[in-house]
Amino acid sequence: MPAANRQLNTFFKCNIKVIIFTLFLFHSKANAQLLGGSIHGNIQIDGQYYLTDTLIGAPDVPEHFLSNGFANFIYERSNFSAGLRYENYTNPILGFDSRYKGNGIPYRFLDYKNEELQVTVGNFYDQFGSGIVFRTYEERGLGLDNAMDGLRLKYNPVKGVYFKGIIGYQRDFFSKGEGIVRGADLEWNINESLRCLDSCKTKFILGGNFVSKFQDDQDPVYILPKNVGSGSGRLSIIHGNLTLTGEYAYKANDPSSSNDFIYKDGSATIITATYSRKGFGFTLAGKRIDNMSFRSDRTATLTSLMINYLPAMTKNHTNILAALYPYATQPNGEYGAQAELFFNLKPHSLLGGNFGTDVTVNYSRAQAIDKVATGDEYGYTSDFFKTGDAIFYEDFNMEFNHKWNKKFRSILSYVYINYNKDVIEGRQGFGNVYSHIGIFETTWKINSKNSLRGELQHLYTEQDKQSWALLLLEFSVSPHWFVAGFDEYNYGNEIEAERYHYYTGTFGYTRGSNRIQLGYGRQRAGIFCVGGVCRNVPASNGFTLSVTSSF
Amino acid sequence: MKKILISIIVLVVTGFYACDKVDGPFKETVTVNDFCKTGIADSVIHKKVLVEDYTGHLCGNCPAAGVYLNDTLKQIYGHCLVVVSVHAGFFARVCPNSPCPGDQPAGSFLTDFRNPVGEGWNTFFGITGNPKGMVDRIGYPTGTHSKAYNAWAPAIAAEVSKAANASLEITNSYNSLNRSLSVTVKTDVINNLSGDYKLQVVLTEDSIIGWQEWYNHTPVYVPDYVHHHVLRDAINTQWGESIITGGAASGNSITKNYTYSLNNLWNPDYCNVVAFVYNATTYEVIQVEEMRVK
Repeated sequence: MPAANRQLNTFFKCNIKVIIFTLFLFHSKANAQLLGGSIHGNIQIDGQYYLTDTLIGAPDVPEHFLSNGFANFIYERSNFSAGLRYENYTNPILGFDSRYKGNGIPYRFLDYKNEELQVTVGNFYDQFGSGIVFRTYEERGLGLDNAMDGLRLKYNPVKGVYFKGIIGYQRDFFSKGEGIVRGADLEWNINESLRCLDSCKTKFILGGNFVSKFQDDQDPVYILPKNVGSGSGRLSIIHGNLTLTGEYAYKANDPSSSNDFIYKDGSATIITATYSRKGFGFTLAGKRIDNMSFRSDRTATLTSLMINYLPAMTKNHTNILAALYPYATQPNGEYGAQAELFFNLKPHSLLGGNFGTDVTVNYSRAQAIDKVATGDEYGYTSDFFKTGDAIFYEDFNMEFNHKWNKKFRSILSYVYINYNKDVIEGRQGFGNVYSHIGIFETTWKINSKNSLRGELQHLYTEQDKQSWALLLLEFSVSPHWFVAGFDEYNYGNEIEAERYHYYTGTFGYTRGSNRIQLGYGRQRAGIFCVGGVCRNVPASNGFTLSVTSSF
Repeated sequence: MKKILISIIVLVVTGFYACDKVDGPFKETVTVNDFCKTGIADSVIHKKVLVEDYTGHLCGNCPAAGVYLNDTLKQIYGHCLVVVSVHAGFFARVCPNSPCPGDQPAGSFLTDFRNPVGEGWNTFFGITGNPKGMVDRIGYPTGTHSKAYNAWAPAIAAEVSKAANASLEITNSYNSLNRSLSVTVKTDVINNLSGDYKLQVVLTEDSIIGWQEWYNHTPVYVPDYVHHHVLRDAINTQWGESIITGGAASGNSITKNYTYSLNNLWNPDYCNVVAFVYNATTYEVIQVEEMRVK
C-alpha cells in the first residue's frame, strides 16, 4: 500500500471521533437562556492531516493530524457581561508558533457598564487612537494575540469626553509577559460637547494618551530603563465628505532585542486624508516611523508582546499571486506613503458600458529613513525630513471592475511590486524582487442559485523563484454549497526540477451560521523574520478541515 | 469641568511616574563571577548554569548570539556557565537545501553539524526561530523557556545565584589508540530533592572551523568561522537516564559509568563531556558540569 494511502487510512481511523463530534456540533443549536440573561458565542476548528511530500519539502508530521480550535462563550444580562474563550492547539498546525502547543482558557473577562462608566476585569482588547502607542488585538491567521489581562476603566464624565485607563499584563501564548502595561487615554469630541453635531459643518476630535511599561532590570551587562514611557497626541477634522486625521507619538529610551539595545528615543507620525462621495473617493496617507518597536518584554521577538501597532501603508491584496510578496512595517525606521483614487465611469460613457465601471488606482511606497550612525549607545541620529536610500516596498496597482450584463461581472487588475527581500524578511544577499502581476477575474451568475467564478493570475519576475501562473475556479450553489480549486504553478523557476504545482481543492457547506469546509492541497514554504529572529513556515501537503459555527 | 480635570490629572500623573531616562553610563560595572571550578567541586559548591544555544550555520543572525555568549557572558561567568550549541532545525540544513541562499561560494555549507539528539530536543522544546536558547530549561513548558539571546543574561544571573542542590563530578579516561572514552559521573545530592531526576551526559566539540552565514558582517559568508561548544552526540541516549525516583535525601551519591567511541572526524583535544541533572517532569536543570575529554 502506498505511504500516502496508509496515512489516509490512519487519518480516518484516528479522527473519526473528531469528525462525529464536529458534525454533532454542526447540527446543534446552542442558543440558551441562563439566569435571565443570554449566552452567545462561536466555535471554530481548523485541522490538517499531513502527508509527507519530499518534492516540495513538506516534512513528516509525527502526529499526522494537527488542529487549532477555539470557542467563545459570552453571557450578557442587562449591564453585565462575562465571557471566556477556550483554545486548543493539539498540536498547532504547521506555520503556527509551536509555543501555542496545549490548551486552556487564556481569555476570560467580567464587564459592567452604565451610561458613565464601564469596568472590565480580566482580558480585553483595546486601542488608543490609531494604535501607534497602544493596541491589543488578535490576528488569528498570524497567530498573534497580545490581549491585556488586567483592569480597564472607561469613563464618560461629560458629553463628548471619553477617558480610558488600563493596567495589566499581556498574553504571551498560554502564559503572560513579565512586563506591566499601564496607560490612559483622553478623547474630546468637541462637537458633542458643544452640542453641534449636525449644525456645525466642521467637526473636531482631539485626543491624547500615555502608556508606560514596567519590566525589572536584572541584566548583568546593561543598565536598562525599568519604566519606558510613550505617548501621543491626535486630531481629527471632519468637514463634509473630507476627513483629516493626524497623530504624533513619542517613545522614550527603550533598549530591546528589536532595536539591538540602543538607547535612542523613538517617534511615529501618521497623517491621513480621505474624501468620499458617491462614485468618487481618494485617500492620501503618510507616515514616518523611527525606532518605535514597543513591547512589554524587551527581549520578546517575532509577534510576541507588542504593545503598539504600526500599520503598513500598503494595499492589502487578496489575490494569491498579488499577495505573494506582502509588506510588513519596519518598526526600526521607515517612511511610508499611500495614495488611492477611486472613481466610477458612468453607464453609457465611453468606457462605462451599460452598467458602469469602477476604477481604483493605488500607489504606495515604503522607504528607509535617514540614519547617521553615532557609534555610541544611542545608535544613530535621524533627520526627520530626510529619507534613506533603500526602498523597502513599492506597489502600483490598478483595478477595473466592470459589469457586462446581469449575468457577467469581471475584474481586471495590474499590480507592480518592488519587494526588498533583505529588509522585509530580515535576511541578506537577496536584494529586491521586481514583480508584475496581471489578474483577470470573472463571475458568471448562471441563474438565481448557481454561479461560477474564475481567476487567471500571472506573476512575472526575474528574481527569487521567477514567474508563476495561477488558475482558480469556484462553483457556488446558493445558499449552501461551494466547490473550488486552484493550481499555483511556479513554471518559470530557473531550476527546472523545482517547477512545482501547488494545487488546492476545497468543498464547503453552509447552513445558517454553520459552515464546514474540506480541502486538499499543497502549500508553499516561507520564511519570516522579525527583529533579528527568523522562523520557517514549512511547506505542507495534506487534507484540511474547517468547521465554524456561531450561536 | 471638575470631572474632566480629574481625567486630565490622571493622564498627566500616569505620564510623570512611569518613565525612566538612562543618560549613561549604559553598562553595568561588570563583576566577574568565575568562582566555579571545572570538574572537581570546590569547598563551596556553586550552582552552574547550562545555556543551550539553538543555532544553524545558515542562520545569519546567529553569530551575534554566539559572540555575545562567548565574548560577554562567558567572560563574566567563566566556568559557572556551560554552553552547548545545538545545530538543529531549518537553518542548520546543508546546501543546496532551503534556506541555502543560492549565491554562496561553491562547496560551502556542506558540513552537517546536526545530529538526532539535537534535532529531537529542538522539536520537543518547540524552539521557534533562531537564534534562540534555553537557560537551564527554565520556563518549560509555558513557552518562556525559548529565549532570545538578549534574555539569557538576566536568566543566567538568576540561576547562578540559586543554591546548588546537587554537585557533579566527571572523570574521563580517553584511549587515543581506539578512540574509546570512559566516563564516570558522580552525582552528590546536597539538599533534599523531591520528584524524579535524570542524568544527561553529552559530548561537545569546540573550535570547529567551518562556514557560517553572518548578517551585518563582511563577508556575509564566513569560511573560517569558529563554532564553539557544538553538540556532537549524547553519551547516555537522547534524554539520559533516571538517577532519582521519588526524591533523594541530602548526602545521597549516585555514580554512573559510560564508555563511548569518538567519531574519527572529531578532534578529541577539543572535545568535552557535559553532564547535567534535570527534573524529569519540569526539565529544569539543577546542576551541570563540563570536563575535557583529554
